[in-house]
Amino acid sequence: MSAAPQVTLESSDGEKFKVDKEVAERSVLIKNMIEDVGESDNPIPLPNVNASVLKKVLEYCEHHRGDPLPAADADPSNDDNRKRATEISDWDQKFIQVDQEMLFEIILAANYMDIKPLLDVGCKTVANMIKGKTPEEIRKLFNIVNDFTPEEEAQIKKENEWAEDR
Amino acid sequence: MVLVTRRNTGKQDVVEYREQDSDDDRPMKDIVRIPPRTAEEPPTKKLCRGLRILSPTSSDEDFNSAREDPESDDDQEISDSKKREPYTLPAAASKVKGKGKAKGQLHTLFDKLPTDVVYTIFSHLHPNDLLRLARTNRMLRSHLMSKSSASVWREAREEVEPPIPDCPPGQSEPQWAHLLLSRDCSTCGRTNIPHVDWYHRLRLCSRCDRAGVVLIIGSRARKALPQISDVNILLDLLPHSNTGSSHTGKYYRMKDIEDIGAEWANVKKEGDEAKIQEFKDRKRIIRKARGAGFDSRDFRDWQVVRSSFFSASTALTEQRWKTILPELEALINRVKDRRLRRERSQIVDQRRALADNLVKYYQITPDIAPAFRPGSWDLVKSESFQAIIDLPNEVSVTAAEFQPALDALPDLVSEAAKEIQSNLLQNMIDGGATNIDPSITESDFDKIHLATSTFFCKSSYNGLPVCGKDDLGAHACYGAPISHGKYHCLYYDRRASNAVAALLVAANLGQNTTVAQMDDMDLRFHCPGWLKQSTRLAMSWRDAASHARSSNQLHSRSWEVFSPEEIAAIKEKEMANIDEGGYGDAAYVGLGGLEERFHQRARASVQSEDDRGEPLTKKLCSGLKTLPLTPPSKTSRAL
Repeated sequence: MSAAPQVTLESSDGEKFKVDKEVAERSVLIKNMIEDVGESDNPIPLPNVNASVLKKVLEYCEHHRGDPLPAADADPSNDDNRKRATEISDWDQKFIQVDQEMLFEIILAANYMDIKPLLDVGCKTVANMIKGKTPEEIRKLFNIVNDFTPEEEAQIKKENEWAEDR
Repeated sequence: MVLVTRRNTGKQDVVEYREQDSDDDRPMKDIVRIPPRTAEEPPTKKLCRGLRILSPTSSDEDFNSAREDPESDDDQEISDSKKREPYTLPAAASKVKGKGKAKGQLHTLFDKLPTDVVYTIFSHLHPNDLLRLARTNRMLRSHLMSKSSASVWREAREEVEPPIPDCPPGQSEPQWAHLLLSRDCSTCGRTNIPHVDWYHRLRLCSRCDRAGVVLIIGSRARKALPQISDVNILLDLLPHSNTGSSHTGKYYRMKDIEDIGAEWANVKKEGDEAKIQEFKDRKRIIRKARGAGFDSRDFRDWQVVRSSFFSASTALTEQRWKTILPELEALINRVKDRRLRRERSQIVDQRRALADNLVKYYQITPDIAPAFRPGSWDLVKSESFQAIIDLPNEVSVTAAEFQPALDALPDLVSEAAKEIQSNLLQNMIDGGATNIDPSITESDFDKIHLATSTFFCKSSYNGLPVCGKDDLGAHACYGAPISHGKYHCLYYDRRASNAVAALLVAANLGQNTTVAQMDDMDLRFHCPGWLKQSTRLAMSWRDAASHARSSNQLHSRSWEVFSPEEIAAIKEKEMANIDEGGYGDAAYVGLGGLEERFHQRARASVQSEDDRGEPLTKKLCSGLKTLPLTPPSKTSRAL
C-alpha cells in the first residue's frame, strides 16, 4: 500500500507532528494553507497552538478523518441541526473530558485552526457545564469573582431591563 | 446564594441570613440569627463577601438599602426601589471590564475568544441559564443585558421545546424570560410562585399580593391611598386585571392610581364640570384602547386630546367607540409609523457606524491598495455592506455579520481605487489635459503621478496642489460632504499644469517627470510675471503651481530656474526662517495628512544687489527677508 501524503505541523513550542494530509485538512486553516502554498516538506507553523493542545486536536482530527466536511457555515439550513444542540457523540464526550484549562485551549485552537465541529463540541461542553447551575455554582465552576455589592445582587434578581434603556 | 430578610418583631429587628444552595425551590438550611450591628470582631471572609452589612464599619443605612422586605408596611419605599434609582450597574459594569480584576476562566475566555464564539456558547443555553449567568458578575451581566444580545436570548428561547412565545413589545427579552421561567416573585424575589398576572406582566407571591405593594385590589385602594380623593371614580377609568394570587377581583397598578390621582386633583380644583367630564372621557378612551391591544408607547394622553374625534362629553358607549375607533386607529398608526421609523434609523445608524469602524480597522492593514484608498464611508455605502445594514431590525448585526464583506474588502478597495483613478483621469480630460487618451485604461493610471497632473482640493486652506502618490493617498478632506466620497473635492487645474510644464522646460526636464522626482530635486524657480526689477521671487515647484493657478497672468512660459548655488543659499535662508519662528508651520500640522510637509518650505524673496562683485551667496542671503505667514500667492502680492 502506498503511503498517504503527509504534512508536518509545528506547534508554538517547536514540536513537530507528522500527520496524514487528510487528517490535517480537517482544519480549514491548514487546508487553505496547503492549497495556497502547495505541498512542501516545510513544517506548517501553528504559532497559537502548543504541543499538548495540538496533540489533542490531532487526536480529534484523526478520529473524524472520514467524516463528511460540514457545509459552509453560511448555510441557513444548519440552524435546524442546531436544534438538538447539546447532543454530543459518545466518543466526542470522552474526548472532551479534560480539565477546564485544556477545554478552553481546545476551543481557542479549534477557532484558530477553523475546525468547526470541534469548536461546536467545545462550545456545547461549556454550555452543558453552565446548564442548570445557580449563579454561585457557575462562579465556583469558572472561578469567577462576584463583584456585585449585596445591594446590587438583591436588585439584579428583579431587574431585567436592557442596560441601554436605563 | 445568601438571602437577607428582615422581620419586624415589634421590639427589635431581627435579621436572618440564610445560606441557600440555589435560588430555586430547594429547602433552606443554616439559618443564622443575629441582631443587627453586633459583630465587633471581623466576620468570616465568606459572609463578609456576601454580606457587607456584617462589617463593623457599615451603618444602618447600608442595611436598609440592602434589605429586601416583603412585609414592610412602607409601600413608598418599595415603590421607590421599583424606580431603580440607586441602581447604576451599567456604568459600573463597564468600568470593571477594563480593570482586569476578577479574572476567572470564563473571563479569559471572553478576552481571547471572538464574541461570536462566546455567543455560540450562550445560544446553546436555556433562557433560565442566561438569567443566572447574567447574575454571576458584572462583566457577564453587561454582555447579556445589552440590547445587542437580544438575538442570544431569542435563540435560547426558540430552542426550548415547545418554543416560548415571542417577547411582547415594551418588554426586554430578559424580563420576558424572567417572568415566564424564573418563578420568582417580581417584588420580593420569593421563589416558586405559580401565579402570574398576565395583564400587568407580574409574578407576585400571595404576601406581596396581600400587601398591595405593586398591584392593589380595587376594594382596598381607598384605604391604602388615603391621600387620593375619589378613588372609586378613578378606578373606573383605569385598566385592571381580574385575579391575583390570593384573591379574585380587580387588580390595579399602584402607580397608575397615584398618577391619575395627581391629575385628578388638578382637574377637580378648577371645578369646571365640562373639564371633569372631558378628563373622564379621555381616560376611558385610553383604557379602552389599551384593552384593545394598542401599544401604550404609541398612545399618550395628549394625542387623544389633540385628535379631532375627542370633543363630546357623552358617555363612551359601544356605539361611540365604534365611530371613533377608525380615527383613533389611524392616529395611533401614524404615531407608530413615526416611532418605527425613528427606531429603524437608529438601528441603521448604529450598523453603519459599526461597519465604518470595522472598515477603518481593516484599512490599517497596509497591504490593502496603498494609494487611493477610498474613505471608509465610501466602502460602507457599497453594496456588500449596505445589504447587511439593510437587514430587518430584528436581525442582530454584529461584527460577525459584516465578516464576509470585510473578507472581500481588499477586492472592493482595489476596485474602488481603480474607479477613483479613472475619475481623476476623467477630471483631467475634462479640465483640458491633452496627454490622456479619452478611453481611459489602467495603463494611464501612472499619469496621475506626473508633475504636470496638478490637482487641487476645493476646500484646501493653503492652495498647494495635492499631487503624487503620497498626497493623493493620504488626502483626507474635511470640507467636502462625506456622502460625496473621499476624492470628490479634487479638481485638475489646467493653468497650474501648464506652469509646471514650463518649469520642466526651464529646468531642462522631460515632460514625463513625476511628482516624486520633482520633490526629490526640490528646485527653486523665479516667476516670469514678477515685475519688480529689484527683487526676485524664489518658489518651489509646488508653490509655482499654486501661484499659477491663482494668478491671472500667463505663467505657462519663461520661468527661470535658480542655479544650484543659489538654491542652496535660498534653502539655507528658508531653514533659518523656520528656526526664527518666521514660519509658524506648527499651526498647519495635522490638518491635511501629508500636506503639512510642504509648509516647512519657507518662501523668500531675493533682492538683487547693484554690487555684482560680491560673492553670489552673500548677495542672495543679504536680501532674504522673513515673509509673513500667508499663502504664496498673497505673499508675492504683499511685496
